[in-house]
Amino acid sequence: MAGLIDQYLLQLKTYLPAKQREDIAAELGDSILSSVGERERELGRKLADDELVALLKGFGHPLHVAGRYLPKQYLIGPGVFPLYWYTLQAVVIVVAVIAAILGAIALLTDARPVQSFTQLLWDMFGVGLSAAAVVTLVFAVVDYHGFRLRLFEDYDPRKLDGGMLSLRAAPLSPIPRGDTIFEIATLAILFAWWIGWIDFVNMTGVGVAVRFSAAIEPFFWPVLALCVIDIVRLGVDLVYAHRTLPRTILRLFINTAWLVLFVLLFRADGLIEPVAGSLLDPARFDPVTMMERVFRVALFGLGIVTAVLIATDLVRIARR
Amino acid sequence: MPSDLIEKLRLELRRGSLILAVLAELDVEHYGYTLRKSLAELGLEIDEGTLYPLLRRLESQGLLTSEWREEDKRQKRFYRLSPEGGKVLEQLLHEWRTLNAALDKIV
Repeated sequence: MAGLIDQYLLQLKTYLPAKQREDIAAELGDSILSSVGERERELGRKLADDELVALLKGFGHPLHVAGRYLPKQYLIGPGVFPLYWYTLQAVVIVVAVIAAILGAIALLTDARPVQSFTQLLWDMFGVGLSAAAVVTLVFAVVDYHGFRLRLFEDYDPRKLDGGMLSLRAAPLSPIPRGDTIFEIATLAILFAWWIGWIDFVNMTGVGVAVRFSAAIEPFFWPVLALCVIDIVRLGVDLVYAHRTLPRTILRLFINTAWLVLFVLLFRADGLIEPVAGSLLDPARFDPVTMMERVFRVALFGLGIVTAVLIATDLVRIARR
Repeated sequence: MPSDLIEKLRLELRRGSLILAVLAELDVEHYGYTLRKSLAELGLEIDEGTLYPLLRRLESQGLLTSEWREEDKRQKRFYRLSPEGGKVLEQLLHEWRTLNAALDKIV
């Protein structure tokens, strides 16, 4: 009988922290022996092996019992977990949206579409995994060191509506009118520029004339159409400044179309050309290359912002 | 209603009450086995896997004191409420009574 109990306690000790091992095992051993003694007094005889086995089973598996003595361990504690989870979802959605759009473009435009698509998916999986690992690491460090999140401490209850962190909030969250007006103004400038009301020539600022080449033509009508549709949508937002599901879905589609256009423009070559006879000496200053670079950087930035907006809308729609 | 949900809620309900019961019962010195028996006789069953880790946690929080002593030819660890534990118990009991009175009116 003692053999079974000793074996049980030995097993238990292997799972316990070294400092408390003997102490806990001794206490639990006494409890087991007390239970055995009481049971034997009730029965008026020694316990059979089967009965002792049943009694030990009642105490629980040594691994399980030892687990109860260990401090609770987690990587991300409850204090920051909701924000961590929210950030992780947003990151994964952004990566997924970018992957989906780039994948679609690869399928449509690449010479070896399936190979490119597969490679892209694999690359994006790696990017997603790395991003998730970085987010997890950051939050684990924040939680471990008990950094106080100003976000939670300095918040203004009046400003809880709107913004990324209130996506879980009321279904009809307000759309700040200032944001809408800013977007309309931006699109209006783009529209005016696109149809030629604002001249692209001489925009290098050094008297060098460059302009869009013929390569831009396939994009002319799609960009124009999207500008008009987006301005109309924003006009509705301006009047009815609360989010609704249909308008969120509409914005999602429009932004997806924008993102596709940005990516296609980014991938296109020779979008800018010099106006005949106006080019300076390219050895000293090459305005075409410079403007191409500026244009691509702008497109990249717009693409990221649009991807974030798409991700935001996807989360909003998913939360309904 | 799924039974595992009921079990989870039941455990949540019990968790805080167990601490209160253990602290109150340890106004008189006990070792683990007799404490468990005593609580069971009063109608509060608690298994060893819950009781012993709880005793250690309460001791590490300074609410209990303990010492090893021999009794019935075996070494046993005796627990008792510490002075700090006594103060905490008083506050918890006040909270418990307030809560109980409110619940009595509600349900």
